[in-house]
Amino acid sequence: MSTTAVQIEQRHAASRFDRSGPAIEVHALTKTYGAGATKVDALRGVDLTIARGEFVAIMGPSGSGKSTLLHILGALESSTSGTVAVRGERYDGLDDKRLTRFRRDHIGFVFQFFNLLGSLTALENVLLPALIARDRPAAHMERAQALLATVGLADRADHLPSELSGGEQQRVSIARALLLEPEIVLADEPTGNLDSRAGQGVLRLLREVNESEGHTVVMVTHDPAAAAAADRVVFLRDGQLAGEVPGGSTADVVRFFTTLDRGSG
Amino acid sequence: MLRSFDALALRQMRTRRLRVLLTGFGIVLGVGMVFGVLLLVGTIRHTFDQLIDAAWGKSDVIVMGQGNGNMPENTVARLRTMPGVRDAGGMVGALFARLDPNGNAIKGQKGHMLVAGFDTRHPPFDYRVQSGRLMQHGPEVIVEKAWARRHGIHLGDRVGVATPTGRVRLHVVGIFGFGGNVSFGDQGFAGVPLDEARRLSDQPSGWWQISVSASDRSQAEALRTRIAATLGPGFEVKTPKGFGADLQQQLQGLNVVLYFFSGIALFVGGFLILNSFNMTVLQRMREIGMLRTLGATRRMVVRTVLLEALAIGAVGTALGLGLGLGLSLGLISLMKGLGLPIGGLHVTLMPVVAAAVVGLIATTLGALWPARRAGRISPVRAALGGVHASRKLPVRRALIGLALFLPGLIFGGSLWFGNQSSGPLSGVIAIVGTMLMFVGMSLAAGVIIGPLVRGLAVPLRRLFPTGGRLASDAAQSNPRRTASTAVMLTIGLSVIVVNSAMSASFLGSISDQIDRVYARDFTVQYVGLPIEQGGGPIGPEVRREIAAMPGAGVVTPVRAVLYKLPKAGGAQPGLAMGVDPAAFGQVDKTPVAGASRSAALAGVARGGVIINRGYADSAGLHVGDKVPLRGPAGSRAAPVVGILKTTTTFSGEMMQMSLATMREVYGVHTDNELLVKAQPGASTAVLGRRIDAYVNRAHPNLESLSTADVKNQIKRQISQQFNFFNAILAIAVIVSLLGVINTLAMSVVERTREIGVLRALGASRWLVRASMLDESLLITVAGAIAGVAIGLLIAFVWVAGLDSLMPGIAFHFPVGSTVAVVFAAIALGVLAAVLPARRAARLKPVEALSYE
Repeated sequence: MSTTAVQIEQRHAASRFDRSGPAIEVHALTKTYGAGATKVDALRGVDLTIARGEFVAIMGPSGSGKSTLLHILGALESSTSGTVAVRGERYDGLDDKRLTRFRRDHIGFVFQFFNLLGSLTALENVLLPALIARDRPAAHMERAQALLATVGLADRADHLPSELSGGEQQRVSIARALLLEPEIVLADEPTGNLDSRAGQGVLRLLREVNESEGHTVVMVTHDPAAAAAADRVVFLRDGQLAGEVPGGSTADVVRFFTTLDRGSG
Repeated sequence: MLRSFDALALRQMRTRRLRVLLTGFGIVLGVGMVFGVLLLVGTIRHTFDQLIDAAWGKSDVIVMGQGNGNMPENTVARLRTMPGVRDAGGMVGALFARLDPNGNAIKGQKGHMLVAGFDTRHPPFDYRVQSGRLMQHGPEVIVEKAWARRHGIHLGDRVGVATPTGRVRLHVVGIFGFGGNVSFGDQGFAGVPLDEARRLSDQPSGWWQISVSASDRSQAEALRTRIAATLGPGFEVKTPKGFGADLQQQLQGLNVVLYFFSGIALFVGGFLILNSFNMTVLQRMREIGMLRTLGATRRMVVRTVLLEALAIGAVGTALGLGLGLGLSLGLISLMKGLGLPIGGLHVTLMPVVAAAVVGLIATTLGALWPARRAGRISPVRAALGGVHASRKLPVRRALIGLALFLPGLIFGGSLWFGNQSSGPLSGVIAIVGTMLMFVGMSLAAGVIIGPLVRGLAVPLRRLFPTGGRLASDAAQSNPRRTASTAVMLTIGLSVIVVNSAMSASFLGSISDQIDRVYARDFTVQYVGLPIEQGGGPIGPEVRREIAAMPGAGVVTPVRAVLYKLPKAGGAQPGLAMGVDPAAFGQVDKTPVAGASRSAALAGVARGGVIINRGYADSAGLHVGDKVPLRGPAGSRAAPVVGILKTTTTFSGEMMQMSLATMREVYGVHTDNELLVKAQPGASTAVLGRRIDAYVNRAHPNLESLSTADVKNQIKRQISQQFNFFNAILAIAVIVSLLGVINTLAMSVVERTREIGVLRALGASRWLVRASMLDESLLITVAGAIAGVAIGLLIAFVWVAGLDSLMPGIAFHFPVGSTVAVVFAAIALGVLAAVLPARRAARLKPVEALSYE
């Protein structure tokens, strides 16, 4: 990690988001589970636009629908109604096969529980998306090794996940998410399973990935400090947008979050 | 370095070594059984071919009388004059019993000597005298070399034998071998001069078998047709190969059952794959979801599962082939040790291909369902993690299971045990129907086993408060997995119970019948050869001597011929019994349908026949229909005068005719059985002792049996076969044991944290082990109870369904085997828990507590 805190601040202030078209556009998104008595409206009409190169955090109390929103953004689930598009390409009505391909080509995912394959080395885990895309691993070897270097694990390429700490595993999974150069990187509670130091390292990494490589990052979190690392924090409550706050200050985030909660009465 | 996505499947196997091993071993055992049996049957078949070739290699046509009857004296001469015939050699056949130095008959196969009497100028089979000389006249004998060596008989010895006409010492003047140096096992073959054979066996004229050699060997088939046409009905004219084919066909029914039973182990092995992969897929839900988020399609995920299964299946099949090879070698040496004629292992391509294909199919079918489930896993699972097993009772599934189960239940009995009149087709239907029953059982299992486990948990908790509670919670937290594990045991055990119950029912019913209809006191027969196996020859003086004894009331002979009855279905020979209609009714009270007993016997005296239900059904005969009897001595159409109303001791088709008819049609005039009844008022015990003394002195090759002895004889025969099948089925039970270990191992993993809590709270290792044992007992005892219950149900319904074919058959409860099965289940439960219990006990509390 070469960048210091000061440098992050400077870059943050200086960057201009690429306004040549939004990375993600969500319009009137709804998601309903079940029917009749057991009906659950997880999302009730969400409109959201995320610019290219933006780092957005989505926060909300449990049951707010933030994870659902992320899953739909990540093409893991389909919405009940509404539209979702990445760089103008809609994927709300796609069948499973096309959705899968869309996912493979445009989206990188980072999970709370790392989700590395225990029988593969770190390098092999990073190369997994290439194998799934039926490419020869050799074609992506250079990029995989470079990514491992970027996340600071070049010397641990041959280690199994059982030999890595939680933070290291999460960093490998970030490298994996980036292998096929996705348009957007989605992170679902990436620091949820880590101690604070490892968590900070992961957040710094996500910021770096966002700034130096220009990936759009959308992160769901319940940790205000983590959310503060983003450019913008969007709040969800009861399946709808409940406001947003610019990133940078944990205190601001906390304040808004509390008002949100109090407001729900 | 991973090279492709498919290679991932194989890499994943490394992390689940125990499960892969257990799963694979099920396939190894299953394929091993099937292959071993296939090789054995193939070897037996090949041995048959070799034996026939050795004995008759130089003959082109074999002529015998219909029903093994006695062919007229002039037959040989007639054949010799036919165009195309180079030579014809006839022989007279007899069965002698070898005597030990004390003058007693040597029991069993060891003591049997099949003796051929023939003119050495016209040999009826291929042989070559290797030492000594040919027999010429008088009590001279040449013996087969391997048999001689086996029993320590040398050139120049005098061998004591018991013949139908009395004791004789035969002088061994020569030792011969059949063409090809093939071993006939313990079966003794000997040749004596034709006149001597006729004298000793009381067959003054006629021939048993004639071998014909053709002038032009390439025209053998045409010659065969010509001879058959010339001799007319009443004769069986076949090429040696044709003979062999007939004998092979008779084995067919047994083979089918053998294949099926060994196949059950493979079926359970496939089931093990199903369970094992279901568990794996469930465990890997998060992982599979993650692969989907990375862009893997449903099809790719399905392929991963199938690939892993195929890898296990391929290795398991390969190892199974090796196991089967060893198994068949072992069985062959066992058979050789028992003195059965069997050659060296004969391996052809077909069994290898068949076993391999069946093994791979079982693996693939077992993995299909889990693969489909894996494909259905949503990518959201990567974030949400796995689902908890549903606790709902799968009612719809159970109903489908029931629907598959019922047809086999209702019709299985007649398919398996009824007359095999539809030949191989009914065998295939029986197998398919039974497999569907198993599938139905597995689908409906949850509904039965769930409540059983809950029920069993109550006493278990009483006995072992903590361990039992943990165990019952574990078993009930995943009812589907518990049920599918238990049902593997259920399938194997239910077949064993059906086997035992059918055996007990046959035995019991026959025993009851004997009690009801036997009115004789003693049965005199050739040692070890009851009438149902055709009996052995009994000389005419035996009847005379016994009839002359004080206290002897009725002494009536029975003669028997085993052959395929006219118009009968199936390949198994039927039994034609010749009785004296005047006296038979006094020693046998079997009720007859269609007439009174005495009227029926009167009809028999006039040339009619009484048949059993099995024959009536398979040949479509009713009272009044005519049965075309054709034999070497004559033909006639005999009217059916009655149909026996009870199960007979002979399991196939049976027909009773008068002694006169049997002589006039088949030329049979030698007794095969004597039924003796004491005079009213005379002591049966005294008479029995007298008969024993006489038989031991003058005819050591015969024995006298009381009715109790007869029942024991039948019991031994039926038990032997069913016990053999049970041994094969035991393998299926072992495979299900592997499934139990698998499930328990998974349970340990799932309950790791729980176990950590327990240990942290101070529970001893012993308690942890005990809770594993309890869980295992829950599963195995539940599976066993279900197996016994279902097995008894199936047997009960089958027996009821068989009543029309085997009237009087009643269900008898196999107490011994039921108890044995339950105990075996308990023992297995204890065994299965050993490994997982050790693992569970070894968990360190701190590590276990932090297990994710």
